[in-house]
Amino acid sequence: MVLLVTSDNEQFTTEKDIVERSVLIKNMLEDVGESDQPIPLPNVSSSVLKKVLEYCEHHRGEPLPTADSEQSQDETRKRTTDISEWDQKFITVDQEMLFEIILAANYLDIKSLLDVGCKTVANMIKGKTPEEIRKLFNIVNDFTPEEEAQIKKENEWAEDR
Amino acid sequence: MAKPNYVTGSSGNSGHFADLSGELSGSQVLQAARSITTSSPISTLLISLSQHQLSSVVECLDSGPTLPSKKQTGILKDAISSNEQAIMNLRTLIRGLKAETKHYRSLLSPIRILPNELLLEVFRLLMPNEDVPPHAHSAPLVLCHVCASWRTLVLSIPEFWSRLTFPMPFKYFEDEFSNDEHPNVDKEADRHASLLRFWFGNAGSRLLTFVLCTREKSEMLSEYDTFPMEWDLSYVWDSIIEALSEHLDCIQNLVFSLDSIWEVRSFLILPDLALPRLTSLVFRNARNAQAHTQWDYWAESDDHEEAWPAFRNAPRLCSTTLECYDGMHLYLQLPYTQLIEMDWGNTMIKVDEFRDNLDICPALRKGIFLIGGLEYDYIPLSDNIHLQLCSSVVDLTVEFGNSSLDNPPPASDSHAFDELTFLAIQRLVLASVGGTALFPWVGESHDLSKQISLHLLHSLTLARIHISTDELLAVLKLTSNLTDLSIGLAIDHDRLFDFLTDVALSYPPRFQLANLRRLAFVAPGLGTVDGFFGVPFTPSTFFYMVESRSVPPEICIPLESVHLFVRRPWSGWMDASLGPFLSQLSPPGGKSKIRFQTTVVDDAFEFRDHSSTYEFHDEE
Repeated sequence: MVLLVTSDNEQFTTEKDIVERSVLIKNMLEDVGESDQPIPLPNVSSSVLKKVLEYCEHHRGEPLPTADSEQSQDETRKRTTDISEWDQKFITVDQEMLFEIILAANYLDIKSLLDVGCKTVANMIKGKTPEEIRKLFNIVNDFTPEEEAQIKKENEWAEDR
Repeated sequence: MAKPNYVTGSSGNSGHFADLSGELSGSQVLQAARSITTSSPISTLLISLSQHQLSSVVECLDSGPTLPSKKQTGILKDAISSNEQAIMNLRTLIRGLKAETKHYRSLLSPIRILPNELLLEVFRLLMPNEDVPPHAHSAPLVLCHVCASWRTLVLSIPEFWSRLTFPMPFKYFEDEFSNDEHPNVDKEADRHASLLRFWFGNAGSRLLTFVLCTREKSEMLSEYDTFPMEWDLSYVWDSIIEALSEHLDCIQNLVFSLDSIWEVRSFLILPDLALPRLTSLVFRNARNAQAHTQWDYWAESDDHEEAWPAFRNAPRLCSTTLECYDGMHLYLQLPYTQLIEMDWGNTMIKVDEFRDNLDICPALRKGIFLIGGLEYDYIPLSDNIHLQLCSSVVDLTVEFGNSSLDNPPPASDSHAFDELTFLAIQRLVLASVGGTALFPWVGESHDLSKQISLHLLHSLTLARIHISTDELLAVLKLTSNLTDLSIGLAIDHDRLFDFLTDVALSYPPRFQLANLRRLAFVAPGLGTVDGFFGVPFTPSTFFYMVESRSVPPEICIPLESVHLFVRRPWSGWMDASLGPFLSQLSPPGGKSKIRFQTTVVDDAFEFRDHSSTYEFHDEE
């Protein structure tokens, strides 16, 4: 069993094969060896870690992606935004939690969870106009008049293509 | 005498004061106005006045039923004006506060916690995987129209701009131009050229894949030949080509995916373009060009004698793919000596050209050729084709096309391999894709067993090649490194399966083709008649072969897959009993996993919809 301590000082005890889906923790455990020392996760809050562990538990035992497989995926330019049914349900959270999960997955080095998070955001953006994207994410249109004029031109150039 | 009431006519709301003013003094009127709870312009104005202004108003009201003096009117106008100014200021303040609130709200927006590196991961997923033209509502353009920081980020990543699919300006034929006028030609020319310059500029030094394609609008084709030949879009094209020419040094992969090659002729005839980074050149779908009257017109004109020298001196061009009008390749001048890959599998060439290509491409590693007997004048690329050692060819596909080896078969086609020797070949595909005569493995003046480095072969595909079972087994005995075997031959399959379960004369003992991982074969007669009649092999032999190679008995690597192509569905193979039956072949405790698939094809080897896949493996 492994003891994890979150940024808000909550402790989570979990099985090694679950938590080792995080490459960061896996490497830490390998470096430290057998130890009862808790692993501090200063960048992850308890509510987020709870979700991350839920993901890791569901996907325990699945092969971890290798650098080669990542590379070949990039090379073939076949990166899709498909998400499995369970993952979709899992990631149906509010925006704040979604981005926190992405940050945590990145920090903990859980590639598959990071993928799910990024794909979800990509799917939210896909097919939307700039104004719809701004509204979705509360982004301010802060273009200068010169930039606005350039954007107008770019829209004309790409019209009806 | 009743006092004239100068307030009465001002507005409906002030009628209340009009009644009072007849009875009360000015100060009383003022008092009454202040006591009114409902707001009206007058009460609001009175309440907002300074003490000095109020005194003037009271004095004015008290002075009786006379019109206010100019001074008094001026004071009121001043008061109105200052209030209007205050309102404007407040409105400006509100606008500012709203903007500020929006700004603060956006600062609190959850997406802002993502660092740029993660935002880029998301953006990367939004980049189109396929060759689709740029659109304002799709990445990368849409992303740089959201906010300044996203724009800066997206424009700073050349990778996002490293692929551009540019549709031909075909639409003008039907939409925008009348028969003899080009009303928007200047604007359109500028629009296309500007987009190109913008895109290429963002790609920077990043090597670019540029796809010039035909717009997917089938109805255009019917309109196409309604316009006279001399009526073209040369001005638009010239401006596109001019913009393209400014950035040719960025292009690594150039793809023409066109219905007609005619539209890029003006580009192709440019001599010796500066394409220092071009490595791959693709002409796709141009085969359809033969349906166009314009192409025919051009082919019949004197111009077709011209050459297309655009790519002649591209110093790094090493890969060409041609799916084009048969014979078109004759005009395309290429740096043959440096070509490493030639995929000409959809461009029929003569057998002499096949041999010629092997001769003048000493660096060729991968070649895909379709040999046929079309009638056209062929001028050899080299003056003297001398027979060679093809020492660099690793991967070779040769198909004999419909008009080849047919009735009467061009005698030369069966001599395609005469005196050629392939020293390094690892993957070989030989197929007759049409006609009745089959290319012979052993011919009048060739024997491929002696001309090919069989011991190096990893993958062998033979389809409709004339080879006897004895000859095939003799070949396979020499292919000890074979991992993939695909055959569509009229041979005795039972003997093949027996061979695959034979132990070779070796130490330590090994199965024949001990490295074989994937086996695919066409069973020509399978299922021609219900029942076993017509089956070209006995199921027991087949199952024994699968069983014996499904688990590593330390004398072979287990098969990964067996793919059986059948001419007609046969219930013995297609029904659900096959899966459970095959699953019994996996012994307990074994770790093998084999994929068994059947696909129904018709006589022309077109795939039908029946396809079954069974996977059986041990459940640990």
